[in-house]
Amino acid sequence: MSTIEIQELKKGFEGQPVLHGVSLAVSHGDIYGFLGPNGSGKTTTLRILLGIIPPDAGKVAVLGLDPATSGPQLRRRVNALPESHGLYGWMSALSYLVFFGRLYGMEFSGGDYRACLRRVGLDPDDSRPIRTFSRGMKQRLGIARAMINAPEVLFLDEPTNGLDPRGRREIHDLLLQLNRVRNLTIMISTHILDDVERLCNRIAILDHGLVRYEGPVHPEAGRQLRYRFHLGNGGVIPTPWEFQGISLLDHQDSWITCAIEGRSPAEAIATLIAGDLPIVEAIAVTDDLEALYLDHTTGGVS
Amino acid sequence: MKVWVPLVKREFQEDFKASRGMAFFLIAALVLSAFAVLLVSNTELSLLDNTQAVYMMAGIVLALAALVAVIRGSDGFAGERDRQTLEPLLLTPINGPGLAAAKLGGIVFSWLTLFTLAIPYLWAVGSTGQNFFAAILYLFLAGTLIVLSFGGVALALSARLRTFKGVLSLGLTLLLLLGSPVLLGPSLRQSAVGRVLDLANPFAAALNTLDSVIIDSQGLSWQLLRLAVMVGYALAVLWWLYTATRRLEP
Repeated sequence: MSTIEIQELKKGFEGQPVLHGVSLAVSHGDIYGFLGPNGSGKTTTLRILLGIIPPDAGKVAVLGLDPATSGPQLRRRVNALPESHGLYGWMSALSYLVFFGRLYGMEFSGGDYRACLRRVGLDPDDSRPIRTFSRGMKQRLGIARAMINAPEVLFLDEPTNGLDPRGRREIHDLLLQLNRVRNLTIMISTHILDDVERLCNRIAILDHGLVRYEGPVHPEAGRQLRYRFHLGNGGVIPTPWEFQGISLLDHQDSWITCAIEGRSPAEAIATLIAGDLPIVEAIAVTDDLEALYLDHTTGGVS
Repeated sequence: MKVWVPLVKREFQEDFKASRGMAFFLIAALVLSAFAVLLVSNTELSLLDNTQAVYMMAGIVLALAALVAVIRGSDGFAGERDRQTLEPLLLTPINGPGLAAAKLGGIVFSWLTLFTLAIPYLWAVGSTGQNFFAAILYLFLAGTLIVLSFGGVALALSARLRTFKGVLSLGLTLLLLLGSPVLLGPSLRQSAVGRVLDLANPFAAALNTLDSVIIDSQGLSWQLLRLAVMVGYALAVLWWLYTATRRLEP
């Protein structure tokens, strides 16, 4: 059973339809990218999944619960980082976290809250008001708040919006760590493709309220892997090519491009090295996510 | 029940830690100081006896309480929406009526602070007169009911309308409309229409209660009908607030 299941979800505001029948499924432990232009319905979908707004039609289940009827019960087990930070500028980071911890009824000690702040790279002894924080610090505090109830599913709406490259990388590393260490299911709504490339294993592309693509980040990844190898022997390859499960797609100078089927890249590299091909560099070849995105979207909704 | 405590506490803390909260009490202290000075230094006002001075001061405290309740209530959801701090609250397991109850609790705390602030002023202008302690008691009672009514109306509007400015305009208009019959002259208030307006208006009921207790020294039995009007308003507003906040949107 999927952690998140949506079937034929429809929602409109003041007679204007926003979601026309969205269907998707997110498995346990996935980092799922939810892509689409501004106004395509991403935030509306997330709010329905969190039970903040009700759907007009369709079936929605998160952790087996219907958000429309079991909102408070569901929100004890999931959490979210909305696009806006929603921080109280006059509070300190620690008092903000304690406030939300108590709203969730968490029986934490002061040390537990301080550990939560340290986990996201914030200093628990920093007593400055939140309004003096940088955008990256605010985002980290937002993530600490979103993790305060040890959620099983985390929803993130544009988590790296407005951050500089270093700040984005730090947020990426933090989310990957949370996913690996706690096997946390994460659903990220974004239109920043770099976030998706770095974080997600599956995506849905939403446009004008419909899912236009649902599947792996790189469509061919489910079937075969493609790698470019740099050979240390100047590009000499055996003829005929007789490596089982490794097809030669291209050969230019000291670089070869291969498709790998039925084995891992590490096994394929070991096979090639054993076959007297001195591989000094290996690069995964991917279809361009940007092209995939552009193929499936027609622009934002004004 | 327990999870509401930090919410009420935060509302209360905001009065003292956020600059906007402190501004309320600074303005209230300035207004009360100005009226206290007028009551003792103005040639005509200084001729009023102590009970009338206490009644006037109590009326001002009541008006300030209603004003603070409307401003705080308008800010309750619409202000949080403007500042984008509402959505994280909606992500918690607390439902809309729970949030509304906590916010109303915060408004009542603001009223208690204002009431505490007003006591020295009331003492200064009327402690030597009769009915002083009854005045304090009924001011507290009527003030709490007025704060629940006006704060509740503003919170319910705040849950439904999108912007703080819009809610505040509507709330203040409503406050002026309900306050206006108080400005009717004595002859007009004695007419049938005037009497209905006087009785059906919670703000007028509160002022008339204070008048009856402080000036006319009348007991509880004289106040029952007016208290019932105020309690009725407060209960109706609480019900409306409950229905308006069952589905809160960010």
